Amino acid sequence: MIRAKVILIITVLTAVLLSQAAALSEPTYPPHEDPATAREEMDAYSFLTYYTSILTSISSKNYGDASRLIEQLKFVHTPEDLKYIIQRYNNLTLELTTTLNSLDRLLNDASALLYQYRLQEAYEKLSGASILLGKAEILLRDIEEATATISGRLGVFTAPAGSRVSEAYGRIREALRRLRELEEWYLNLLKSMKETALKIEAEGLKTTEVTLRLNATEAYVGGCVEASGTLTSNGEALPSRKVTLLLDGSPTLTATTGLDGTYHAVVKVPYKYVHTLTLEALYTPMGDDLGVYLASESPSVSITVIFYETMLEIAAPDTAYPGLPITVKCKVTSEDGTPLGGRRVKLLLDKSLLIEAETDIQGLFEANVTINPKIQAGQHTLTAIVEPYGIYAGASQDRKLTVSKITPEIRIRAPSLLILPAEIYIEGEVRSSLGPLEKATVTLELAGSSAIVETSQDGGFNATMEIPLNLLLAGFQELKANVEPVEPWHAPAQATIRVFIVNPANIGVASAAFISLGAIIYARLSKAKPRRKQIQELTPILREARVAPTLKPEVKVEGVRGRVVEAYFKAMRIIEAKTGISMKPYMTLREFLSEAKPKLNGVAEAFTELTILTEKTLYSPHTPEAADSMRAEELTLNIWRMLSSGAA
Amino acid sequence: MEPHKLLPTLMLTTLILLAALIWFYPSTGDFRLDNPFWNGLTTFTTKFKASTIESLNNLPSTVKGTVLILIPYSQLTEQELEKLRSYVLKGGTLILLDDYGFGNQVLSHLGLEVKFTGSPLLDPLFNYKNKWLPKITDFPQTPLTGNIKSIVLNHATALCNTSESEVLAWSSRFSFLDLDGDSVWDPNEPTGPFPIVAYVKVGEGCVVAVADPSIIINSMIVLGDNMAFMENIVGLGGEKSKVIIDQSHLPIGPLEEAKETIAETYTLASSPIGTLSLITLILALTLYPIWKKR
Repeated sequence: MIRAKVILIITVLTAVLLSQAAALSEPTYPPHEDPATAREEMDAYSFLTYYTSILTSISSKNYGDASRLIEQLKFVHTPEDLKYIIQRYNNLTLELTTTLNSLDRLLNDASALLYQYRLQEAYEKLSGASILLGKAEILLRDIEEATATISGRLGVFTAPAGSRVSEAYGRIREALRRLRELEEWYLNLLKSMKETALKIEAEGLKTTEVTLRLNATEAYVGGCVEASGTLTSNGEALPSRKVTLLLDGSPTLTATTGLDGTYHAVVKVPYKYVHTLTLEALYTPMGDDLGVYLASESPSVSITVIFYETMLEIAAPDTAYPGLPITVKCKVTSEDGTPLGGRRVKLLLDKSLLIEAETDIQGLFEANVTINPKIQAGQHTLTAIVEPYGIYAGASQDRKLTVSKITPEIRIRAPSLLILPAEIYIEGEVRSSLGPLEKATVTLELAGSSAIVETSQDGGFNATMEIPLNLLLAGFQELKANVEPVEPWHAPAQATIRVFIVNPANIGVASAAFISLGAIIYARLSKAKPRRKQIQELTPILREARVAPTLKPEVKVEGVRGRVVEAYFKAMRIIEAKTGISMKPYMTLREFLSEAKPKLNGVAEAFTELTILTEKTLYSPHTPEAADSMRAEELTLNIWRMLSSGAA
Repeated sequence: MEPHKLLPTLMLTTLILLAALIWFYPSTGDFRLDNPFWNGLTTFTTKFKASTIESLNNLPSTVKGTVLILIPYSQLTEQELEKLRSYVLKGGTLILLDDYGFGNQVLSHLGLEVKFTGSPLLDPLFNYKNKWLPKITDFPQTPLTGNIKSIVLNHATALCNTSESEVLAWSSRFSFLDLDGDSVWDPNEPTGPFPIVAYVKVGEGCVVAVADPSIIINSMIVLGDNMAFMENIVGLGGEKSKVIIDQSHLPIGPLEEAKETIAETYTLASSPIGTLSLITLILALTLYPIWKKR
């Protein structure tokens, strides 16, 4: 019971003290909060203000700025319950920005085409613009609704009138109104352009026709083709007019028609290593032709571009090491294997230029390139690019390059036995497949002590470590050596050896504890032994008492103890006589008590107490006092009285 | 057991148990290298293989290639300031992380104009969860910030007087300095953008002032690009820079104090004289009752 109480007290005390210690360890002024448990919140005012900036940018047709601001919204924190709706809101706004931007471009294009009397193309652009305007209308309606919903969720409508949030909401409503105005403006512009187109159509302008012929449908890259054609209107030649030749849709040159409406031009095939190019002739009315003729475009004609392929072979090691050079060889040839000298070759690693040089007369290129010392270990891509040259196209080839680090080998020599406190001399070497590691930092750790040394030229190192006394008694400890090489191509390495450590101080403490414990146990045992002897000696007396109760014990137990035992004998004799139950030689006091108890009735309690008192006197280290003997005698007297009077 | 024997036994047992618990219970102090909880630096320490110094007297003699991380939450002595100055002038890289501490003392001693404002920086829009955790997204194009998209701060401040230094990060234009501490922007309170990180060359070394030491605690280093940003700054010290963290100017909690006391006691007990005294004491205490009885 006492033990349980002690454990309970210790547990409670420890828990209280520890919780206090943990609580007190918090700094008085917290410099941060735990982000995992931080309260989520969204500032309605800031959010609405930011969105007002976005919508204002859109309404001012600054679509680029608006897109940039929307892009920044990914850094705005949105609580989980608002995440979806705000994400949708952001997407809708971005879509509206893109749509209005495209609409703007289409209308600009259409305007230019109308100016050139290119009615057909202008109609196509205006049709696209109509679709985009319809889309913008839907998006704007959605954004207006979403603005109201989000504002409601942010508590805007419950904010007092005149508050910052209400004012911000007012501003965003104003920005939305301006967006509506912008949409109206685009609608009006579209309508006006359509009217212009219809007006041009109604003017009954004369149609024109431009043709295009080429003297060849094949040409070398960098070569030329002759282009010719005629410009007519209802079969009538149109002289002195400008015809623009479009190469792949881009104006390349302008030719002037002659008296017979024909034009001639020499078109240079650009150094564009594609197999096909398209050429078109375009007539747009200018000057006096404005308001008289419509624009026209010839059907497109294809030119097959001829050039030679360049063949590239690359040879490089599969593995490279940071900071160490590798040799890369390239061979550049034509399709038939002819070496191509003087070709510019670029060598790139993960798209970063390593080296640039020309091939020799045999079409060979060899370079020693050093790998970036900071490069991450792993798979990388080595790319060789041959620049195009004349009729030869360029070529490129990728090659996988594994970048890894060499793990050095560490050898440690140290005594295998150590008696604390001690100095330990440790030596060793660090080497790799490339030789010894110089100036590598070696961190040695043993039994809580550490030392840092540098390797010498031959990769060797040595250190003397002081190992103080610690909690160890005796046992194996790991001597760890961590090596941090200076060369980027070497990886850090670790090695361990085991050292048997003996700590005489702790062994001394432990021995002292054992000696103390042994001494206590010995003292207890030596105290208890005589008592056992006394009991052995008392057993015949007890036996004798049963057979001849009147006889006195031969061996006397003297003093207070003797008086207690004597009182017990007396009570025992009385009980034997009254109950007929006798104390047998093999019986313990407690066995006698349990056998006699059912017949003792009123004196059972008194005899139990007496038995316990006697046991305590005989078997425990407790030294009986006078009060104990008096109590024993009192109990015996009570037993005698009660049994004699027949009260029991 | 009699009460007069039980009480000392109980006290001794509790003391030993408590000492063991304090010893083995991980540190909970802010910015402690051995604190594995949200406010400790174990992640940073592991990542950068950082070592600790308990006094600025223990700064390395060869400073080139070293990076000292200083969180000055307690005042520095003249001698310590001089040590720091010498460290930087000789080519060391000092990363000074501060918000409401004594960072300005260091900057003044180094003769730099740049200062920590010491007022809380709040950003109600660009943040992580709430305005006390501002998100920084504006970085000038420099080699130190090329790969950085955002960093997250925690109860930070801002820098001022950065004219002579290169600013590496700016807060958003929605941020403000909460001068009166009411967490709400008032018309007299300055609004962003504010410089958050600045870099200055001093002698052969350099100083990087960061307006929030919390970006390197375990719970923050993993947010945004905080880790990459610290990698870039630590890289100023050289390719394989050795990172040293000063622990002598951090707030000391009772747990840390208790740990220190136990460590001192242990050091004392593990000395030869201490061990001998301990053995004598144990023997005397245990054998005294036996000797007395005889």
